[in-house]
Amino acid sequence: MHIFLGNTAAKAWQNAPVLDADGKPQLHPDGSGAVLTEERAARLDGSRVTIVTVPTGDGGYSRLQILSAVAGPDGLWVRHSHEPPAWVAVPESIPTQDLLAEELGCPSGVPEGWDGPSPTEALASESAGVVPGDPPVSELLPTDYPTDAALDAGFKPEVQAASSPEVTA
Amino acid sequence: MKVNVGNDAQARQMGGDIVGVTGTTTSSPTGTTASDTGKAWTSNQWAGHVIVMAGVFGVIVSNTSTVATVDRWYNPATPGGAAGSTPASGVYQILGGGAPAIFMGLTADSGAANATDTTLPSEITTAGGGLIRKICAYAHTTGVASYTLTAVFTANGTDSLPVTVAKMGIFTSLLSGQMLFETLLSAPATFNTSGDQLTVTESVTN
Repeated sequence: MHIFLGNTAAKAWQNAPVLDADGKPQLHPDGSGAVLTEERAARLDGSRVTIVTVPTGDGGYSRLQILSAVAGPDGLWVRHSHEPPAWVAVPESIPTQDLLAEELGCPSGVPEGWDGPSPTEALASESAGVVPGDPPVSELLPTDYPTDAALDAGFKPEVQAASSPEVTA
Repeated sequence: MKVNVGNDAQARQMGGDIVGVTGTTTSSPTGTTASDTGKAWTSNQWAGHVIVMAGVFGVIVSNTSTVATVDRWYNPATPGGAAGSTPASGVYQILGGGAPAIFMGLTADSGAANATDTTLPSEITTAGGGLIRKICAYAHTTGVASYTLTAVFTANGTDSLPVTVAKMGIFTSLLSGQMLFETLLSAPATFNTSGDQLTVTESVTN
């Protein structure tokens, strides 16, 4: 079952080094030499959708367990946003949608005027790896970028001899 | 924390590894094995990968030159439920990448998580209990470099109570498989009686 939640204050988690009084990174107390880090959550502006996939059926979650998993104090929503959800939608189960809306204190269903992606768009973007609102790839390419047709016709782009920058994750 | 096995699995899943293989079993699969005597695999080269046969799949936990051993066969629609049917002999595919880590286990062990751990120390495995390893709810916010896995555990009459759990692990299998994450809970939690419930959320930051 998919649960969609409107998210206007998404949390972006990062592991940041813990600094001592002198502003230097502290080392982990386990003696491994690793830098001690702590989780911090930046606030991301913009309208996004949080997609929850909950297993149901044999071995899956009951409606009350879904409520705890999503809306409980140790549940997932508080890890995804600084604010209550803008809305909740559960196309496969309106009773679950209404229950979550009541527990989370938000509209049941996508309200008129929502300026972010729809649940369908969000689900598609998750699969395609495109963030809703980003321009299409064609708009990111320079206008003089050679087309496949131009390459097929024999166009040879100028090759620059340059060292490739090392890419690190 | 992501343990060393988790680093290896993440690299394999996101970076590529062998793209996979297909073939036909040369004997009837069992509840945990699929054999193809026409192959000459390297020992354990497929560990962590998924094998698909006739509407079910298994997570390969080890392999010899001709036999892939899986944890069990899964029904794709309900991977957290009862085992799927053992497939008849036929075509199989071993997929590239690896099995997703979507199962959470608990332990009363309160020792620090260790990057070299491959199993969760003293994991609760009481058959029929409510505190055994189970499938998680997965959540992700579009465009954000993190995701969460959440499990809700409810103690039942089969569990050995009271028990105070202190640590969790994230696995690729409901039964065995690889442990990719091992994390101390923010605070130990005690199950005293049947019906006590605990929600555990693991945040994974890329």
